[in-house]
Amino acid sequence: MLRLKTMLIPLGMMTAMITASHAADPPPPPALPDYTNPGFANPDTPGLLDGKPAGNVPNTVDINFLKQLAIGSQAEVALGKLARDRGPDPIKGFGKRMVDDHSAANSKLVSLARSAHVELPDKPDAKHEAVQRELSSLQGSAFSMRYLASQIEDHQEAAQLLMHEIGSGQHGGVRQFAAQTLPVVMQHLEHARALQEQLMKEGAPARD
Amino acid sequence: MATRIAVFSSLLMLPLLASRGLGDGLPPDTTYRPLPTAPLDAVKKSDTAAKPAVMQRQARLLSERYDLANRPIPGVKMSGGRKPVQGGVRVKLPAGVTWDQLAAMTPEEITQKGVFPAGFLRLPHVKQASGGQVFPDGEIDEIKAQEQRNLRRFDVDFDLPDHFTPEFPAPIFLQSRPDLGDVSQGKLLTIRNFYSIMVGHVTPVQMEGLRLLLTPFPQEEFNQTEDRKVEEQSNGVACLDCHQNFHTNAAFHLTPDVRPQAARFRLDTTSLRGMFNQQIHGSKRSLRSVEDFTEFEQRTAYFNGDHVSATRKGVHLPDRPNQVAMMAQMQNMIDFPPAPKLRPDGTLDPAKATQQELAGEKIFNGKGQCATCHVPRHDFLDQQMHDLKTERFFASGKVVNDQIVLPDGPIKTFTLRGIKDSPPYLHDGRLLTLADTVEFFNLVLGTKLTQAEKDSLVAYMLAL
Repeated sequence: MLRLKTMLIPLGMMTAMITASHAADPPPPPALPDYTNPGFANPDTPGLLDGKPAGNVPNTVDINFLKQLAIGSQAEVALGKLARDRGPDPIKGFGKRMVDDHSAANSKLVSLARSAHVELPDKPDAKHEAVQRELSSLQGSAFSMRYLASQIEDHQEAAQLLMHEIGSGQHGGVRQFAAQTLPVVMQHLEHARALQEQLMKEGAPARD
Repeated sequence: MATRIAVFSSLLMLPLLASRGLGDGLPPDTTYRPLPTAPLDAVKKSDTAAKPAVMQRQARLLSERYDLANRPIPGVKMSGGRKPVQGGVRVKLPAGVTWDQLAAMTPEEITQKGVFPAGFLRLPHVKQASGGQVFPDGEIDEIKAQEQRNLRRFDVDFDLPDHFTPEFPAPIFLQSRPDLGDVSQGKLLTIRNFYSIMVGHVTPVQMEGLRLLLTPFPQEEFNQTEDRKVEEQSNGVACLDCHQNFHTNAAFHLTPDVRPQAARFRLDTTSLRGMFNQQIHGSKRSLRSVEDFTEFEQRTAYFNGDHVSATRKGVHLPDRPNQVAMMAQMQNMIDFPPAPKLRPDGTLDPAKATQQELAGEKIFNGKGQCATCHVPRHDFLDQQMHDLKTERFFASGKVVNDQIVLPDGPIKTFTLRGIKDSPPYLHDGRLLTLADTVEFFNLVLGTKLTQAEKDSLVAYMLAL
């Protein structure tokens, strides 16, 4: 357990560092995705011919992105609650982080989707429901390992979705959201991988 | 213990069996190139209208990161004797720190304070979302004049100032005829003139290889379909459009080996000099022969590693024994430029080298750790890919000009023979001068060199 705590310090520090660097000097203007390949734009996009596709009109990539990310992000909150309430120690903390971060992301997603006139799914998909059912029957380290495996897969998928949106989306607000969210998702992935690695090393249930 | 691990492993397998695959939740075009949705007319108008702002954005990024002034090292020219070599550290320091202060900090401290120089980060493509090959003006003009073939894109132009690019046209040295010296006649080899320039210097097989290396074939941005970035239908590009005279003109591209688009890193064209001793090829693929590379480039450098797109636009699939072998043979004939101060074992001749160059050699082999990978007696190569783990110094995931700041992973060791001829440096061209490379590696390897040691390293590299 001690080892796990030592290992977690750098991650904690990283969050602190990010906060600290923002506090120290005025934050630089966020670098935003600017230009798209118009070859893949919807031909009726206003402003397309002037080289300035309307920043508030979504293309197929934006629409797919909002829907798929919403599915994953809602599931992160649901699964995070399970982990926060039922998981062993370090998993509890990770679960709480998922609940907090993804709840915040979800409310942004909802308002973005509204502005882009995209209808978001209102419940998790079958995959996440299955994971949730499975987790409900597990405890201790079995629970932790299953939860972390699902988190790693989900955050890999989320990172891919965000990167794809940054490169190929068109809606300014949605691309901006993707650019701002990606570093956080990458931290989540790193955190989950570090926890998993540590649990694998211990190779045994830490506590029930 | 073993049993518990076994139980653990079987638990880990569960999600794989139970869930749908990762791809089921991703859009259908995250790996394959999507089909265009807008008509070419509209794309052209849109791209042309956006071009000035796109170029301004890139110019802003370059001037924020680098000192772009034309400041050559007095008396130092590239091997053809025409183009001066730029000097000094050009990567700008973040406010409030010196190079020595940076070198004294730990990677964690540099990350925390956000003081990793921006010029040490990935250099984005001028238009990351479209990517593709971009040629410098000199190449575009010469190909237009000789072949009436248009290499000018309507969406982007080349971004670096001319004084940070290699000599053009570059001299050509043949390892099969070292007695001849530069055989280029000061001309750019093209499909129009190659025979008269190379006749008598090469074998029939090499000549045929050369003809193929100079023959344009369809490419992602230069082809006959509506999915292109050049005004008229194009016959395509030739291998030596980027590798001008078997060297490089600093034309750039995005790596074909990474997805999604925003994660791909920029590629600065590598020189083909000394190909005979290079055993791994490609930015991530580590192909084991130049034959493999030559064959597969028709779907990678040409089509971003998307064989489906290649098929659509007219791929050239050179016949392995009859064409690829000849193209490879020709490439293997190209030598490095002469380095009169180097002895056969790759060490400096003390009778010819200056004190500073000799001091540089010592640092290179010792404190600077350069020779760990750039092995002097093996043409400064080690035939390996190495991960410098630069991500120790910055937080990943930020977006800069539509490109995501990410770890690059392992990249192959490049030769340092004739290195003064090949700016810009590193696989993506993020470093403009040799002095920049010294500062970069001093930080990344934590070698803590003094200013005199850094200067002597640069002097040494100029002698290679």
